[in-house]
This record gives sequence, structure tokens and C-alpha cells, in this order.
Amino acid sequence: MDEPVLAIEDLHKRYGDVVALDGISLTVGQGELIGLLGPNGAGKTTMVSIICGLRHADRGRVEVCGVDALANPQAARRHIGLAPQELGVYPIDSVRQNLSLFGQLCGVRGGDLRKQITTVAEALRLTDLMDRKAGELSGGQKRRLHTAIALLGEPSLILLDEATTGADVESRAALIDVVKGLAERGSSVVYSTHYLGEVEDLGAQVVIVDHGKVIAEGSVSELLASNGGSIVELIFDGPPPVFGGTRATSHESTVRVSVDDPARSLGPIFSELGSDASRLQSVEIINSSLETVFLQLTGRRYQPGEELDVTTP
Amino acid sequence: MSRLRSWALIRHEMKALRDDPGSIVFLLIMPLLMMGLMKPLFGLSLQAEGFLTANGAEQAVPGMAAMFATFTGSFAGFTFFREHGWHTWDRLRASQATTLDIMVGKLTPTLVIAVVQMSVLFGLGVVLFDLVISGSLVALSLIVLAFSISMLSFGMAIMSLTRTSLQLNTYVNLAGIVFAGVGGALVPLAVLPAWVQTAARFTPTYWAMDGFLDVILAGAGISDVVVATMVLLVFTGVFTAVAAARFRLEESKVYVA
Repeated sequence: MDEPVLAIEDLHKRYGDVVALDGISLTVGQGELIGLLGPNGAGKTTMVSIICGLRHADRGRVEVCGVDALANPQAARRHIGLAPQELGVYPIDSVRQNLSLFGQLCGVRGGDLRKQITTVAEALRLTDLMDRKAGELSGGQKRRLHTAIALLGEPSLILLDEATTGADVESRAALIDVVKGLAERGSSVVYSTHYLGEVEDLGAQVVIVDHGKVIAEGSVSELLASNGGSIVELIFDGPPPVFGGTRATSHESTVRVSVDDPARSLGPIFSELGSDASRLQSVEIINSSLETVFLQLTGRRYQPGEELDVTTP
Repeated sequence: MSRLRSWALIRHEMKALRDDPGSIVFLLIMPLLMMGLMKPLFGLSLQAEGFLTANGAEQAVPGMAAMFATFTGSFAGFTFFREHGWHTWDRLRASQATTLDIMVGKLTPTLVIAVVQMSVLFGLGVVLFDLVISGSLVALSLIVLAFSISMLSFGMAIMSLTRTSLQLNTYVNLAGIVFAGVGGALVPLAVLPAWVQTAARFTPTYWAMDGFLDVILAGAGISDVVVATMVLLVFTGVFTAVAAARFRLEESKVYVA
């Protein structure tokens, strides 16, 4: 079996009382495309930062192409291309100058550098913008440049942390296309996002992270098959009624009922409510998706922008 | 360390300085103005000390050059704050450039600017203010280099201790004025109280002025400025130790443009 490009085992990290990573483990094979999914504060960026040596882990193991990334971050970085969460391009430099500088920092020069710059610029639709100062680009154009920099040096492992944040529709589509293309050409890509739809569009292997742990992984279809049935969510005025059977869960004023066929299930559900139906405030059908997978696994609706309370008990 | 990577970063920093030359122009124009203003006063002071042929440039030129060289310390720190402001710091750290590559790349241009600034001011002092350097130019250059390195390390120490670029500017500028005032750059040491003359020895500016005045007024050679040079290197060691102990690559900084 080929050596994994990225192997993370039992990784822990705390910031004071805040647990950012709680024993996370992950393996990425050669040419694999991983969609790392989780709300804000789940631990995605912390994990990416530790892989690149930007933060220290408390304990655990991280290997990049067989190199111990915790003991030897400099050697590990030779195999990594990173586009961090925060947009980082030099506004006073042109697109070409930004690419040239970071290409040289990858150790690429001369004709090789020019060729790689041309290739990534074409892939990210930056060819017409090469002489424009990065500070004058639109948000989406900056995002494309920011991602292009990560591709220089032809790294074995590409880490894209929230690559489409602030991007316009065109830029988002271009970035998704590029990511798919990279994986098709054999690069290993870890694509971190809090947008469920993007992970579905990528067709990637999904790793769902919550409160510093991996709570599920597999293809979208595998996850939907095991955890992703549709859910009927009922919100009541006051405490919810007790539902028979094991397919209903209650929390505060909310009841969630897992169903195979929402359309056919509504009738029986309302019948069971009886007089409690008068206290019903809202009914929502959540169709089978990664959102229902998250809901089944955590008991919470997926709110991508929520800041998780990750303090220790 | 990689020469390719360091050189790429050096060129990048030089370009950033070229794109915003205002600060560098300030560091040349202001000291020249002050040299012109202070020269007559310093001339009287030096003549009173027994240097009967002094015209004041002997104090004004090195004094203002030394004082404004202190402010180049903020350049050294500022270049790091700017990376945080542009959100490129983590990107730079995650690249294949080592910490040493980054340090060399960022600090070399600042050192070059400090050395060139002082050298140009001395040269203009000769042309515009009739400065006569009776001693060794090599000795003068040694002091210029040692003092520039000490100010660079001072800037790094302040950068490591401060959280915002405003704090950096405030403390470096304050230190520059204090060093210049106490160290004999702003005012001849002979006219200052005895306690100030004692305290002066604890500032790098005192030792730079000691070396400069030795060369300019007393015709000193290389061997005569060894002590001053070594003391400036000790200051460099102290400031560097503070920076090394306190600087955290992971620590976020706040850049205020």
C-alpha cells in the first residue's frame, strides 16, 4: 500500500481552557480529495495550522509524506502548499510579483518558475490580471491569487482552508473546478469549508469535524446511507409532547422525527400530536443531506457561522 | 539558510521601501535641517571646550546622524508588523523559507538603509557644513556599522515586546530622543549635569558619539575606536537576547497603518 500523504493520529491542542482538538485522527492517501467540514470553532483551522507547523500540538502525531511534521516542520513544508483561511497576498505587488516571490520561496526559479506561474494563472483565471497590483483586485480575484500561490512548487499535499470565503460566484466555481482538477491529476487535497453544498459539489471524501473530533467520515452517499435520512422538525410553544418509538428525539421545545418518506410521514405525525397540535409553532422538513447527517450525529442544526462553545466542562 | 530564498525576500523588502520612500526621505531631510540649525550653537560649545577651530559641524553632523539612525530601529520592527497587517505572516511562515531566511530577508534592507543613511549624512556634512574628519574613515565606518547593527537589534527587541505598530513607533521614537539627549547627540555631553554624563554610558548613542568625536576631533584610528565598537556590539548582544527570549513566531501583532 502506498504511504499516506498525510497521517494524523490522536492530535490534541488546547488554547488555555479552550479545547481546539480533542484526539483528532485522519489519513489522506495519494491523490485523495478530502472535504473537511465543520462549523466555525470545530478545529479545522487549528488542525491545518499544526500540519504546516504554524502552531504547536500538545500531543499526537502528524506525518506528511513520511516526515514527522511536529518534530521537523521545515522538512514537512517541502511537501505542502497552503492557502490559509485569512486572505494573504501582498497588496503592493502585482499578481505576477506575488506568484514570483512565493514560487522562489518554494525553491523554483528561472524557466521552471515562469512555467509554473503561467500554469497556475491559467488554472485560476488570472492571466489577464498579471500586471495588476493585488491590492486593486476584487475580493474574488484576490481569493484566486491566494489559492494560486498554494499550488506553486507542485506540492504533494495541498491544504485549502476556507478557500472560497468572500469569493463571488464565478470565483467560487473556478476554485471548485481547480480543486477537482488537482485531485484528478494526482495531488492530495484537504479542502476545509463550512459550506455543506461545496463538499457535495466537490464529490470529495467527507470528514465531519465537531468540537475538535472527527464525528463521521466517508463519501457523501455513505454518510447519507448511514446517518442521513430525512427529518421532520417540530417546534412547540412550551415543552414538546412525548412521541412513541425510537425515531423521535426531543430537546427543549423541539422534536425531531427521522423519517424515510417525509410526505407520507406527516399525516401519522400530526395524528399522534392530538391536542398538542394547537401548540405547534413551526414544522420543517429537512431533506436527506449532509445537514441531516450532522443533525443526527450531534443533535444540533448545522449553522456554518456559529461559534462553538468549546470550553471544557 | 537558503541564499535564493533570503535574496528573494531582500528584494521584496527593498521594493516595499522603494514604493514608500517617505520615511527614508524624512530620515535624510530632517537631520540635515537640524544640522544647519544646531551647528552655530555647537560651534560655540566646542570652542569653549578648547577646540578653537571647531565650527560646530563636528558635533552637529554625527549627533544628528546618530539620533536619526535610532529611528531606523522602527523600520526593523515595522516590517514584521506589516506582514500581520497584510495577513501574509502565516503564509510566509508556512512557506519553505526558514526563520533565518525570513530574518535575513527582512532585516538586511533595514541595516543597509541605516548604514547608507549615516554615510550619506556624513558625506553631506562634509560638503554642506564644512565637516573636517581628521581621523580614519575606516574607523568612522566601523562605528557607523556597529551602531547601525545595535539600532537594528534595538528595533527587534522593541518589536518583540510590543503588540501594536503604534506601540513600536512610540517606544522607538521615545528611546531615540532619550538616547540622543542623554547620550550626547542632541546636546554636547560636556554641558549636561554630572549624573547625566554617568547615565550616558548606558546608552548606545554615547558610545557611537564617543567614537565619532574621537575620529573627527582627535584624529583617531581603528585601534582607538575598538572599545566603542565592542561596547556597541555588547549592546547588540543584549538587545538580541531580549528579542530572542521574547519573540514568538505564533504571536499575532496589530498593524495600524
